Formats: sequence, C-alpha cells, structure tokens
Amino acid sequence: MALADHLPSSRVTRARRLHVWLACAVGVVGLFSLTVGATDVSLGPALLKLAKGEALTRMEAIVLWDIRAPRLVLGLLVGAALAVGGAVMQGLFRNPLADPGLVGVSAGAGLGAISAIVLAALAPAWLALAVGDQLVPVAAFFGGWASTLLLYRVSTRRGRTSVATMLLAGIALGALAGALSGILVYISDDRQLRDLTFWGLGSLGGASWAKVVAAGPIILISVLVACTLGRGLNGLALGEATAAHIGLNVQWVKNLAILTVAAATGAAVAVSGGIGFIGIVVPHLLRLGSGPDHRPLLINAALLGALLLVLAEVIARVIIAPAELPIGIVTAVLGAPVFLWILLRQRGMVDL
Amino acid sequence: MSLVVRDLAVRYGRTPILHGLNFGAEPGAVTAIVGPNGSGKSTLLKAICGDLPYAGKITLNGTDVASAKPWALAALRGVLPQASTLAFPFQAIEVVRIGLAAGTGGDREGRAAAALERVGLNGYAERYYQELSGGEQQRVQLARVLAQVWEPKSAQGPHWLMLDEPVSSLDIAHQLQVMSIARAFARSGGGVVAVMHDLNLTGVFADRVLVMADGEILASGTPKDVMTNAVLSRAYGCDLQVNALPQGGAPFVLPHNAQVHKMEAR
Repeated sequence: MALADHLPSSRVTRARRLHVWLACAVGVVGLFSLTVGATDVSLGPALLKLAKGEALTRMEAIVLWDIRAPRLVLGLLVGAALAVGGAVMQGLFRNPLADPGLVGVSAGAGLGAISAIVLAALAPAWLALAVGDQLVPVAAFFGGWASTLLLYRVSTRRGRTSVATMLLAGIALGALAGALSGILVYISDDRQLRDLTFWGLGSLGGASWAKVVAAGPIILISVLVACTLGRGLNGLALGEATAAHIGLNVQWVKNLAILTVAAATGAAVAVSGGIGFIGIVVPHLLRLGSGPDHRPLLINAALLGALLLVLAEVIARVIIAPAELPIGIVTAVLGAPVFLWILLRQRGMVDL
Repeated sequence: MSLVVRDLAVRYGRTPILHGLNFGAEPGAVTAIVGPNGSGKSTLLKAICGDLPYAGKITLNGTDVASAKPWALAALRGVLPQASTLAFPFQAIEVVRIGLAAGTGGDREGRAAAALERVGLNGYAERYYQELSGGEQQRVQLARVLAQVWEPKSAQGPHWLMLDEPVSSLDIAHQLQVMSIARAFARSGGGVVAVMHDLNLTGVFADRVLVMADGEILASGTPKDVMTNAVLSRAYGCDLQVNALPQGGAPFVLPHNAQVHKMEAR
C-alpha cells in the first residue's frame, strides 16, 4: 500500500503523458491547417521555395501569412480559452455541465456585439475613430466584462462570493440581456439581422494579425493564470468549507477563476462570436480519459481545446469550399451529440 | 497552547445562535460538545474552525482564528465536516491527497496511503469515492483530515482534530474505531474537539463534555460530573435516566418503557 503512494497514481501519470501527446497533435493539426484551404496554395511548396531562396508569389504570401496564419493563431487561442474557461467554471460551480456562460460573459458579449452591429451608426465619431472597423469585437469584449463584473458584485456579500447566487442571478441577467438583444433585433434592418445571426454562429473568418495582437495577450495571460488554479479547484471539489479547512484562500480562488474566465472568454467571444460546446465537451472527455485532477486537466484542456477548434476551423472552410461554414455550426454538430451522450451517461450513473 | 473561546456570539442574519460563550479545551483530551438539535453545537464548531463571522475572541494555540490565514489554520487543525459532498469522480486516495495539497509541511510521501490504512480502508485507494458507502466516505474524509494534521503534536505545539459528528453514519464497530483513533490522537498530545450526538460514546470516549442548550453552555466537566439526570434532562427537554457502566463507571443513557409511555401521554 505504502508503495503505491510513492508513485503518482496511474491516472495522474497518464494525464501528464497526455500533455506531450496533445502538444504534438496540436503541432500536426496546426501545420495541416496551414496546408489546406480553398485555394491550392500549400505550405510544403511554399517552404520549399523559401528554402531555395526563391520569393513567394503574392498569392502565396497573402494566403499563408495574412489569411491562414492569423486564423491558426486565433483558433489556437480561442480554443484554449473556451476549453480552459469551461474546465475552470465546472470546477468553480462543482458541476460538469457548467460553462463560461454562467459568469454572464456570453450574454453580455452577445448584447455588446448586437448593440455594435445595430447601433453602429449612432456611435460617436471619436469612438469610430478609435476602434475603426473593430467596433463589434470591442463592444463584445466590454459587454462581457461589464456583465461579469455586475454579476460578481451582485453575488458578493461581505467579501464572500456566493456561487449559488451567481448561478441564479446569471439566469436573470441572461434573460435581461436576451430581452435587450431582442429589442435590438426587432429594430434592426435585414443586413444587420444577417450580420448578427452570423456573429452568433461564430467564425474565425475575420481573423487578422490586428485581432491577434488585440486579443492574443489577454487570452494568453488569462489562460496561463487559469492553469495555476488546479490545486484550488481540486480543493473546491470537496466543498467550500473543506477547501478553506485544508488551507486554501477560497475567495482568492474564486476571484481568479471568475476574472480570468471572463477575460479569456470575453476576448475569445469578441474575436470569434459564439462558438459552443468546446467548453463543455473538452474537459469532460479529459476527465473520462485521465481523471478529474485539475492540475493536469487545465493544461490538457488548453491543448485539446486548441486542437479541436483548429480542426473544426479546417473542416468549416474545407467542407463547402470555396464558401465557408460558420465554425459554431461545426462545433455544435460535432459537440451536441457528445454533450447528449454525457447527459445520458450521467443519468445512468444517477440511476445506479 | 490550547483552544480558548471568549465571549463568543454568533448570529445568522438577525437570529442569535450563540450568546456569549466562554470555554477552553486542552490538548491531550477529547472534548465532546453535546446538546439537542439546534442548540448551537455545530455553529460553535464552525466558529472555532473559522467558517463563520463571530463576535468575541477565539484563539487556537495562541493564533487568533478570525484573522489567521487559511493555510496557517490548516497547519494547526484538520476539520471533519458533518456531511461532505464531492464533485467529480475522484478516487479515495486522490481525496486524501487533496487534503495534503495544503496543510502542514514536512514529509508527505506515503501519508495518504498510511492515513487510509489507519481508518481501515487499505485496499480502497483506487475505488471511486462516489461509489463508496456513506460510512466508507466518512472514513475517507477522516483519512484526509488525519493526513493533513498527521502528527498529534509538532515542535510548534499540538495539532487539533475538529470533528463534527464523526460517527453519525457508521456502524458500531466503526464508531468504536473512529472514536479510538480520536482518543489515541489525544493521548499522544493532540487536541480533539468533537460534536457528538451519541451520549453513550461520549460517556466512554470523552475526557471533557460541554453540554449545550439554546446557544448557551449548560454545564462542562468530566462525563461523570456533567452527564447527570438533571443536566441531560434539562438540556434535551425530556426525562432522561443516566446509569453507570459496571466497569469504570462511565455514564450511559438507555431509553426505557416508562419514559416512552410518558412521552406518548403528553
């Protein structure tokens, strides 16, 4: 018995080994995503040309560097943000079906984006000058943050945040944001309606280096900070009281969890729109494979989330090439059955 | 180096639960808190563990509980909650290890498995916590607490076990086992404070008993001094007959027919 304790349990070893496998897979899929697309430009021949010292054609340079590369980077970042956000929220709410939407970030971001699309004409000149054509992502990001902060204030009393209050207030706030969005949808014209429908379906189609520079650092820092929450979330799995008894600063864990998720998801949603299911499916698959210990789980979630989103992005742009499917459709088509399967499986566990 | 509670008052919203309690507990002894449902025993334990805002002063080994950092308290005491839920399918040994993640420093190798062995759960390490029986889960939690505090005392002073109804879902053999672990911990210099429902186990295992009723301390002292007909009947609001065990004279309470008839007649 004592011997078993000297070695980390087999699940933890498996989870750590998974870091390496997933990192390799992310590399492979990343290269693949640079290789395939609507045009017949491909990475291999281009690299060969560069190696020979020849110049790339203008077409090759634009497709690889200005279109596919920022999409790849943004896909990696958004996928990691959504999956880690999901894992952190599930740990915080102690529920495998929680997702970043619970901290109000999605509702707020959605309202922000719709406001920007419908009310863009009303924006003051200085604002239009400051954000240029990036009004929608900027509005989505600040909308997400504003609603999270509001929710956080509502559910924090005397320095203690009540997760249960947050869940309930989040439903109310979501309904309110939905209603306001509904009003905006009602007064919008056909073109705006089309824009906001597509925004809701999610896409990396508008990826650019400008977006990478704007959202990248926020996502990267929040995801890295969130990945340090493993010990705290493991403690919270035992309940808040016990987490404090074993020496964790529970309020600090909650603050970090809520703020990093709001920042990472807010930025991700701002640049990509509504992409569902990554946040729920990825952590769940990993828990099945290598156990619920959050320390390896968060890192693996970042890797697998990045991997799946880049894969979904490739599928979205290859499957009906030269047109492109909104990526949220791909993740939903692939993710919804997995989600249902999770639910059925859980019900089975309850029945037992 | 003891537990000192001075003028402790706790209220939930506007409802006062504890009104100005004073008491102390020493290491080396098992201190039991007994009293009827709603008398404030669990609230008292929660205040001692730093879970609640309170008025008054509580110090553990001289450390002010209200202002101490969670990790400083975790190094002094472990807490076994009355009921514990666990999110996500962790294995028994993983639950014990989570308790080790913070807690006291020092050599941790082998502690988790040794703690499981101490509560008689060797062979359960890789079993899923959710699939264990209520009693087994409670013992896994006890193993987690034992792994956290580990030594009954260190160079810095005694360690403490705070137990909220530690035997509530256990069969009689495991009740004895868990109470024996608690007493052995106290005999080796550690401190034990336990909220107890079972008066007979209290009579056998406690060194000091605190009888609570309506948020106040009705009596405190050794089991023999405190567990009398008068005190217990007043605390629980029903006629109780205390007897003494033939060996050692520990007090015990058995319900008997005359008493039951009296309750039914009311």
